[in-house]
Amino acid sequence: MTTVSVSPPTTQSNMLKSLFAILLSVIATTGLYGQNGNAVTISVNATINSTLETITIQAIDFDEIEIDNSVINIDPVMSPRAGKLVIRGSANAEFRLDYLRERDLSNTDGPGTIAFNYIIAGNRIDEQDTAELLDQDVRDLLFNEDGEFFIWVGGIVNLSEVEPGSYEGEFTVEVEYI
Amino acid sequence: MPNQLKASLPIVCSAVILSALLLITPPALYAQEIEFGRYGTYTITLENISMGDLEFDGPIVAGGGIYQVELIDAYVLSLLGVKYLDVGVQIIGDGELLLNGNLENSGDPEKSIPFTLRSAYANRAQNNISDAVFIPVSGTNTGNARFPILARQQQPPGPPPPPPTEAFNQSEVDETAYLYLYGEINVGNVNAGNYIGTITITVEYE
Repeated sequence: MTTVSVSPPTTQSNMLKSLFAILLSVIATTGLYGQNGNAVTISVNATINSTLETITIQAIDFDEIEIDNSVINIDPVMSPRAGKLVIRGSANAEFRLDYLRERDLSNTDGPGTIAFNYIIAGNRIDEQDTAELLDQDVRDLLFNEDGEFFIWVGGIVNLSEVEPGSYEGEFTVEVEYI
Repeated sequence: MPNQLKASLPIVCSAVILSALLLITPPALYAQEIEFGRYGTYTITLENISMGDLEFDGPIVAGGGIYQVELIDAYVLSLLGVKYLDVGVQIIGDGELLLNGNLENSGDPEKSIPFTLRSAYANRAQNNISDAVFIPVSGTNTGNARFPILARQQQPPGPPPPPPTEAFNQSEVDETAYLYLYGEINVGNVNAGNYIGTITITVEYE
């Protein structure tokens, strides 16, 4: 603790001495301040993924397809009739793919539905015959360096108890980043 | 009477000069308090407890809006110092995260993300967010707080601490307080990529 005591000056000389003492005390007091501090800088990060897109390249092709014992089978790896999608996102980002394996196709000409069992295959490169069968409903996958992943869609349908008509349905795939 | 006037002249002059001197003295001399921590060679250590950076975990998608790091997931720093001294904390954060940390992207709505910093401290000798006291942070992401390293627990302040001497062993009176950093980002339709900003925390005894 610094004490500054000031006595009334009796002469001009004493007054100057007192002022000098005050000035010294002020300087001395300032000098007592410690640099007792510390500083840290930290980074704040956020990785932003681009918006996911699913683009249909081609639909499943049933035109004049061969029916074997009332069953149509389109192999997603080998058949050129397989449908094709490309999913676009962030390069090398992980994503989760989820799809409904069985969907009903509706008769557009009247009553009746067909249960269609989808089978899909996927690949990080645009090459169907090396695609991997994605036989689980939910899969964790990885985009390629261009932020793309390719899907081929096939399936099996049994036409043995089906009303004549034209049938339509959807294939639904859900994709999200993980 | 004239003699008395002559005698009082130097006193009046010295009072005027003294007043002028007081006006230019350092701010600490104005305060109506004694900042014990400013006198002596006390040390204070600010360290990261959390590893890495304050990370907004994914997945974060462009146009996704608000993403938060909650208090429970906050970035934690420890503040080791003399338990009975007050410490001043200044926190300055960037107002936006910039694509690749490039300053040229500041203000570009496609390459910057507004960042709102939040902060708190805990000074009950435990790293426990239930003890957290929020630090007001301005719209420019600047926050200041002053608190004792160890909370006085609703007791009146004790007597002034003894001045440190050569025999003083600070480790015997050290305690740890904790700082928490968290906040939110508002992700607009920005370009994909890595967005970076910084927060600077400065502490000193007061």
